[in-house]
Amino acid sequence: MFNVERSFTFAVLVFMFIAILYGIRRSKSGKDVTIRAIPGFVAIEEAVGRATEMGRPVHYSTGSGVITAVGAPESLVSLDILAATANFCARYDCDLIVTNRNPVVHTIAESVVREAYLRHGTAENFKPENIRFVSELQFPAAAQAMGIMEREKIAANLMFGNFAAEALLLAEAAVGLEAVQIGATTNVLQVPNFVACCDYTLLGDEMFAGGAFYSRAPVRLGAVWGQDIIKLLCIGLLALGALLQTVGSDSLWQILSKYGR
Amino acid sequence: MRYEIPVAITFVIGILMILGGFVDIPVVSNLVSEVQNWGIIISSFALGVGAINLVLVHGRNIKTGKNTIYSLALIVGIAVMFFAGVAFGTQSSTFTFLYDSLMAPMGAAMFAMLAFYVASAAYRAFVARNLDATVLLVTSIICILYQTGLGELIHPSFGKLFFWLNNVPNLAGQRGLMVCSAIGAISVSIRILVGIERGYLGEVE
Repeated sequence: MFNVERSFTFAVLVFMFIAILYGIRRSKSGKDVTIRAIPGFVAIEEAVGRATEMGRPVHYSTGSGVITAVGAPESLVSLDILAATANFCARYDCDLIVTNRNPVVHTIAESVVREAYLRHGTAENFKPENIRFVSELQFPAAAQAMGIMEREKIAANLMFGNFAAEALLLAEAAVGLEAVQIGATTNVLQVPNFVACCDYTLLGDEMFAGGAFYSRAPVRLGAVWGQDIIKLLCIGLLALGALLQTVGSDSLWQILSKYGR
Repeated sequence: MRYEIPVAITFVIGILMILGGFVDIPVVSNLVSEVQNWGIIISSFALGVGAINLVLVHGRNIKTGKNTIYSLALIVGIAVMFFAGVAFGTQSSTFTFLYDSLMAPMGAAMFAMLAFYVASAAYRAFVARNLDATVLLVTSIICILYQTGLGELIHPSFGKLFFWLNNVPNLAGQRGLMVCSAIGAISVSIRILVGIERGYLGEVE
């Protein structure tokens, strides 16, 4: 019946559910929850504004765009941030080019951008041909996205999602165009590349706060508060583990390897 | 109803998939594998949509004379690979030849370009404009000197310094990022499951 080997993982997951739901309830009851200004998110509107002034398009990449495997949360959050970006583009009447590597994400991205233009009553400005499926393969997709960036002379390059080696290819192509760049990925190997090339880089879990940052809705802010509680739990576990290892006890390690599969 | 139905489907499927990871009940396992099969089928249909998008976008380019040569090359490439796959099969020598002679070398060429891009990105990043950048510059010089073999000629304990930099401050930073990213990913998954994050449905508050 219940997989005992995963009981610790299950308990942590239940704690996470409770922390987030408690955060939402706390926020709904009127307790003030604030979220700090994340420069990368603030800069998206500035980047769209700059592109509008220059009369050049904004390029948005959803990364590898996996939504049925590891990396799905990043892709879904990327679509969330795409919705906010499309909102700005619809408001300022700026062209938005979206390149997708995953066909499922491509279809969702098209509806997300269309929805933003519809909401602003500027459906006639929505260009479905600007939402492009490039390729499922890593380097052909990068080559095509780089070509699009070069030919369309983009003024801003936004990269949110799961990126691997293609991250540097895309970022360097945009550097050559002197485009404003904002990048975010959870792949620690690619973070240095974004730091070297982008004007703004979101680190760690900052990308996942995108929805709460833009909406400022108490429900979403409360959920981020709950996430911070989970972080505190992890810090506590790390400190406990370090302390136990220092005094020569591997009891926490034993528990995790037995029940935390 | 526009958002409620997709959120309800997400919740039910999500909870089922989580259950599948923690319980060994045949009914649940069968349902999980059934849902995964649906995912594969939907992805296959979506791939068709993607291919249609490619043909439409590049067909329009050819029609309007915008970047005709690139669009034409892409459509001819799609057509050739499609017919080679359908007519001879994806395991055939024709298809394999096309893949190995065109796709693989071109992909390798793109990958190889990274070497030059890393150099130009590093050139821009390694400028000692403040304390943080100076630390980055110094550590990078140590790592480069060790990797090229010059470090140990300068001093025998260069290797120890390199491995300490890699295994202590670098690894600690990477682990911090990984832990935070993992918490963020799980947290956002829970938020999507309970219907708080709905941006992927086009909703912006």
